[in-house]
Amino acid sequence: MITKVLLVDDEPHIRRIGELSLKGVGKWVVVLASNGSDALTMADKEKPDLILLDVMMPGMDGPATLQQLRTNEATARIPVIFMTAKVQKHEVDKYLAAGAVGVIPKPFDPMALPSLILQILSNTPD
Amino acid sequence: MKVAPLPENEIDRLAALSEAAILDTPAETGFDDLTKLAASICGVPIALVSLVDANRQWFKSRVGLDAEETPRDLAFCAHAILEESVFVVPDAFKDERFFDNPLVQGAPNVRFYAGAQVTSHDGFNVGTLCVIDHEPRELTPEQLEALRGLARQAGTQIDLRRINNRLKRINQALTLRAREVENAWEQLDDLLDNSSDLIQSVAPDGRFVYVNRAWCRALGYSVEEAKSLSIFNILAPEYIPHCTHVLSQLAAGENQPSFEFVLIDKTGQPVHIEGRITARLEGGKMISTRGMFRNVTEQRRSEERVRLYSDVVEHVQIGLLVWEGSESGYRLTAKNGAADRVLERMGQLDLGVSLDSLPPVLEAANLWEFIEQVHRTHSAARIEDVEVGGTFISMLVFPLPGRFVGVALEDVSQRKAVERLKDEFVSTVSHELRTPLTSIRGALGLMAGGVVGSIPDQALELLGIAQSNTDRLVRLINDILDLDKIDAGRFDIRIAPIAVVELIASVAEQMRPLASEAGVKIITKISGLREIFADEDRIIQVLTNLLSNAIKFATAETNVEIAVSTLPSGNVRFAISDYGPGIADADKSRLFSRFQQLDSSDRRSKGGSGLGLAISKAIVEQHGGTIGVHSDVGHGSTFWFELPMTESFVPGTVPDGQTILIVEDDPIVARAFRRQLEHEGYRLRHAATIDEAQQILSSSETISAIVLDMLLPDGSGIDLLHHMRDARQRRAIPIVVLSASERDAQADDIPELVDWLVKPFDMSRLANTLRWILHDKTRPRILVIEDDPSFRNLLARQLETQGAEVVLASTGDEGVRLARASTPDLVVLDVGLPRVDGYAFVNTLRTDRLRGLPLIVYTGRDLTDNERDMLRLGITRFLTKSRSSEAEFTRHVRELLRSPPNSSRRPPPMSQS
Repeated sequence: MITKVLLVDDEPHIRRIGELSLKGVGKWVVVLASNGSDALTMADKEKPDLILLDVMMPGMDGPATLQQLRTNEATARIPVIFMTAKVQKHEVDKYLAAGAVGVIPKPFDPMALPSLILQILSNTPD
Repeated sequence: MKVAPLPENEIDRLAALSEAAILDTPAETGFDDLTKLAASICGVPIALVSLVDANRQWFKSRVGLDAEETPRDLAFCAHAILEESVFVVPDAFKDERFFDNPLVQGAPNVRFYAGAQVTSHDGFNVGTLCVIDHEPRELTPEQLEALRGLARQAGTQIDLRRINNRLKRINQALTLRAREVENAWEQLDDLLDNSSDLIQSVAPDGRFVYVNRAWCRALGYSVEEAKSLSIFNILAPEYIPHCTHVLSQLAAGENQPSFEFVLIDKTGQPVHIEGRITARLEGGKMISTRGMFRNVTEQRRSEERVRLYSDVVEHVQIGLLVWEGSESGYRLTAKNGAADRVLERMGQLDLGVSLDSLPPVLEAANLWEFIEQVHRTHSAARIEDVEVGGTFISMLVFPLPGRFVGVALEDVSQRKAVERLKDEFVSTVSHELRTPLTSIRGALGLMAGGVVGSIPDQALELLGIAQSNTDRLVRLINDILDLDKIDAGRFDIRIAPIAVVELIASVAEQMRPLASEAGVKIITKISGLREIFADEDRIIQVLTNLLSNAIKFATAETNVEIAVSTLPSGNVRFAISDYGPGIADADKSRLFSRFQQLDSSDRRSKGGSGLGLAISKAIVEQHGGTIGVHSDVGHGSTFWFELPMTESFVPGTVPDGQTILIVEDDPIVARAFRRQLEHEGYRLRHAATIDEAQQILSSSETISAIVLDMLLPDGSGIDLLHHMRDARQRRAIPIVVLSASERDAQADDIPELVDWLVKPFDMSRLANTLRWILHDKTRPRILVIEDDPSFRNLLARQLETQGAEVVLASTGDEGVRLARASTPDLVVLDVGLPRVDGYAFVNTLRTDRLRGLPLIVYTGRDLTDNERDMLRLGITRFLTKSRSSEAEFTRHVRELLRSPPNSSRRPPPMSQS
């Protein structure tokens, strides 16, 4: 059961669109971060049920952020879904191997985003 | 009677007589006049010209006597020729030499005889002119003188004949001689003319006097044309000074050594000739020169080519090495400059070096093994992108004539770097395009979705247009990414089993919204097939593409059909049919090219990228399949593709010493089986008839399997099967049938019949079938080759829990040894291994009977496609240590160990080629 989602993306327009989609369509509480280190702070503070994590970010990128999240007892078990514009197969495989529960390719359909997230989570054994 | 002795000069005398060739010739007036005159002068009844031959006296002319000749023993003349002067016997009765002579006692009753010698000009008494009377008498001195004169006349006549004959002989000899000389000339002429050397004779002014055929051939002139030419007309200008010098030296009587010069042929091409010119001098004056030359044009050209090639070889950027094989191994016999430059940073390679002391980069590429393989198979092998210290090298190992093997080396580091940059570029551009599109697509979607409040209908329509075009842009980007990979040859497919029914259902489900929007119904037809081996995502991509095309073009209220079937060839065919407008023949060929939308001006613009079919074609071809279209204008189209039946794995090998009975009447076929199957490790029994087969089967010998030809001299193979059933005394022996025709319905009743092969068939399929039959399947044996002890033990535990028998090896060479000794059903292989690494392990096993062994490559590294290719054995799966779960690993193991299907209807899988 999801009530709160942390959306991490360095692109403000995408943050805004994602927020509208998750709030407006998914009816979830949305917290935002624009880079990896903010994401770590937010995750630790807000304890979201899910983190949507952009892959390509300046500084600490998505996979590095994920690795850091895993080192913190408080955030280690939060499921992470990557969002990426790099959708070539070997790239997707790489992200999954890094420990994400799913990968959502960009661009995404904002009306379908919440249901896509639920679908990914339902396929993931707890 | 006293017989006259032979004269001392008898041999020469007879020769002189013989030379006259007068004996046994007809009478002649010249001689007859002499005898008539002698008889008349001497007043006697008989006168003769008698010639004394070896055993007789023969009368050239005779008066008063009938006999033509008398024996020499009786002849008075034989006495007469011994004398110098006229030999006279006045009264034979009173002469002791003659009184009892039969010629005296009987006819012709000789009483008186006088013979004057007929003497040749060279002094031989060849006979006499003699007179004879029946009464005793004397001759007057005048009569004697006349007789001598007449005898001289006779001698002169004989001499004339001799001289005449001698002249005739000389004449004959001369004619003969002349003919011989003529023949000799002809032969010489022939010899000169047919000589492969160019022969010419040139007058002092340079005109050609004689040229032979080879000369004409080489220079393209006829003999007549040549004779109208001067040597200076056709001599290449740069040789005129030297030739002039040679001629003047020859004229001065100096011999000249062989030299080379160039003539220009009729077509203007240079002809290189080499040889000597000699002069013919008469009275110190040169009357002609003679030359005999070899045409060395080809030789000069090939020398020039060799120089050219070596220059080219030296200047190319590709490194070239030539290895020469011998008893003691291979040694480097030639290399070019580029080879040194390519290997510069990786250690020098000196001429004469052996394969044992290669620089690390060539060592790493297993060059020695490739060289031996290429030498053995005579087909080239490629080694791509070997990396040492950041430098990438690609090699082509190619066969050369004889014991040589060539290696072409290319430094591809730069290309690799460019490829990497391009990958990054493409990836980045695609990312950069997607990011703004995400915002656009998102904003449009949220507005159209009503998340930010209600939107007027017209605005909603416009939002829809913007949204669908954004989607189209995204598809275009995806397609371009795919095409980029296809172009770079890095379009990777991952073969795995796919359940066909589920595959088609999910594709149909996915396309259903689009279909219902178009008023089209999707129906599916799947016959019999359970599973295919292919890259699931990619096949979905193809099916989706074809299906969306079909939906777009289908006439409303019609069906779009997906049909999947197995073809007799074993290939799997997918066909997607629509009842749309169809495609004109002229357009079909460009359908699968890029950016082809046949109806781009159509108002029902379909909104595709124009790349879908090109990508589908690449995907299908990457699977080894084919794609195509059938279409009738006005009746719709069927797009189809076929995938080759991908074989499942073949389990290990057979316990040694199993005996197979081959029942086959064709000795050649039987021999081929023997070779193949003995190589596989079986013992063989051969029967040419059903009768022989039954005898072997009723003996005590254990037969493990039977390979049975259907058509035998004493009946059908089916008969043998029935006999065996009736006999019942034996356990069921598995049978593989060989037949010229398709499977017989009767065969279905025979459970022992495990496979039915239609001739001509692949021998390896027979071998695989037998391996299936005879393999002991109770417990699979798995060989694990892993140098990390803890991981090795982890794998062993996992596999043993699954019920497998596990054999462990920690190095590659140990792995090879154990693979051969334990004949495992599956190998789990690490790539980085001490001594013999994973590549070398695979390479070694590829050459022997273990080449069909299924393999799981379990490595910590990411492998390129090329590396994967070098690691494939039988069915091969690639797992990455950090990424693959335990469950995934055991799933692959189970799949690779899966038993063959029980049904004899399905052909057994074949080894992967």
